[in-house]
Amino acid sequence: MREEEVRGLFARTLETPPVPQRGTDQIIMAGRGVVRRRRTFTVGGSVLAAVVAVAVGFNVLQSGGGGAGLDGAGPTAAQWDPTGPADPLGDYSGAVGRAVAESMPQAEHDDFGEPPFAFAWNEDRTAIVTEGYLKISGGDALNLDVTIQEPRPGADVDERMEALAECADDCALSDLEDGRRLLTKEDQVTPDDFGPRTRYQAMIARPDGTVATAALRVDDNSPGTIALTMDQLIEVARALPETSDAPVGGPAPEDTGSSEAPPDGPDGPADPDGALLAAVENAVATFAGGAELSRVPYEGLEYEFTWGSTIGSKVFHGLLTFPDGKKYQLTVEIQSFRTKIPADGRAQLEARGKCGASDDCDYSTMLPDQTVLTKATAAEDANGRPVTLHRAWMTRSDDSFAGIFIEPFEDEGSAVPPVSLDTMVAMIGEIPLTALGS
Amino acid sequence: MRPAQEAEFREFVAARREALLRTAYLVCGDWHRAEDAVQTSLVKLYGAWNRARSPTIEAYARKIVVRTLIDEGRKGWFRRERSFAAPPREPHANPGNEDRLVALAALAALPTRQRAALVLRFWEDLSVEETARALRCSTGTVKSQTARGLATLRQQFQSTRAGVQGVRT
Repeated sequence: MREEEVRGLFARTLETPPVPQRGTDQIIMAGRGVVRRRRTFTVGGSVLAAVVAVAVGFNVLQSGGGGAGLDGAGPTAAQWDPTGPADPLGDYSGAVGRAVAESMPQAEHDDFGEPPFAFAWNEDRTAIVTEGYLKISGGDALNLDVTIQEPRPGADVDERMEALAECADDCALSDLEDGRRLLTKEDQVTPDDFGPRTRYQAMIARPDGTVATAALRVDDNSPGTIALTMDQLIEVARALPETSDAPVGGPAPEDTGSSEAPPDGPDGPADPDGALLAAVENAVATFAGGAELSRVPYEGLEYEFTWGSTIGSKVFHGLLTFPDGKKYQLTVEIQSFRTKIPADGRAQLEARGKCGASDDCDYSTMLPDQTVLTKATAAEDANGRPVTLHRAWMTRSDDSFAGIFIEPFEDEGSAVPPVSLDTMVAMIGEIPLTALGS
Repeated sequence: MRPAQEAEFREFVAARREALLRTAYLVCGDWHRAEDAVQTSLVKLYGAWNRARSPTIEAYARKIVVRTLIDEGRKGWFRRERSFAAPPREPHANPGNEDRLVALAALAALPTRQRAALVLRFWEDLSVEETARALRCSTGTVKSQTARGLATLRQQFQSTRAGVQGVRT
């Protein structure tokens, strides 16, 4: 299939977009709330970071200086755990921020409103990565990419780094202190019509078995050359902590704050008094056949109600573990009606439920203002085995609807959830009305 | 944000919202999800407006939209659900709609990242490097996702067209 055929295919799928349900004013109001919360968060986060830094420093002193040994034993599972947030204490994002500020004084980091140098897992969770946008006074803007590759104790570090850098007789290897190995590479990339541009890579193999990489290239939208030196880039790679001092992944800290930005939504927490979470816990205890409710071990999914991506919505994700050990993900959503769509309850649920040919949907009315939609969807798990997804929604008296979804978690659940759709409707009935801020 | 900057933001939203919505729809195949992703992205964009450079602001907005959809697909109930398990019910279906149904069904067979790679490369005309930045992956991944997406699309497009024509006859 050729490019023009793909474009034609895309064009044929498009129809007239619907009228946006929220106007620009509402987007601006939500944006103002995000800015206000970020300011609050930044101040609080700085204090917490200082406390953590003092605590970490104290521990290092007590243990005689810390640092990884040279035997290549690698970090323990607790120090590199590909579950939970990539950088649970913000050690790595903080180190990159400080290194850029100290080693690249001519660069101004622009975070575009996102948490600065926030690390995330790569696609297969074998590395944590972040990127930054650096404005250089009198020069071109640069992209900074920083990566910590997973520990591979005992591996041939030169081979590993050459493979990561895709070397072709254009890499330089040298020794650093304490057995560390440094690889540098300067090459040309041609991302677009602006012509070839220089890229620098500095890669360090460390005693904990990880490989830290910092790379610079000219921003895609501005032609030019790199106005920083390889030595400055190496300083960034050297500044990255090792896993003996800074954990990667693992459970989220409970009281240390987080480098993640709060979710978008109106000012304040989504569930200030915990009433929504308590109602969900009560509904699970009452109706879910002895299942235990706990946090979903995915990055970014906290055990709490948060503001949803849709303006005027709240969402909760939890992990249900049944007595037989089977696990299911529980999702609870509460959402205000879409005002630009016909406002009766059934129309709202039709818009949300999107029942298709493979879905078994059923509408019913409990009270004049309570329409219920249950939906069982035949789907496949990651191994191609058939599974059923159970969802239920109910409209409420305040022009909102609440929904509950139960689906097998990481293919550890049975094909059919052990909670019936009728039971899920009963669980929804336990969720109290709440201000949705729309 | 100063009033003048807010006015610029309003102008941007008025001028580009529909284009972002179309891109989001092509990535996810669902107008409601597309609209949610664009709303979320515009709220984030508002927060970054002071620091964003005007020549790159549209690329930045597009990047947030695509990432929002991909991140959303990684968690929650979207993980195993495709936007359309089959060509959607069309209350006003007519012979002229056949091409659209075939196209929708073929696209629905693509995993989100492959679909996003195709949309960014061939609908938005981004370079491999720009697509890699938007998708937070390597250029090699973009190339492989694009190749796989095209192969899947070719296969699905042919089989779906045959199926739809079979139903019509």
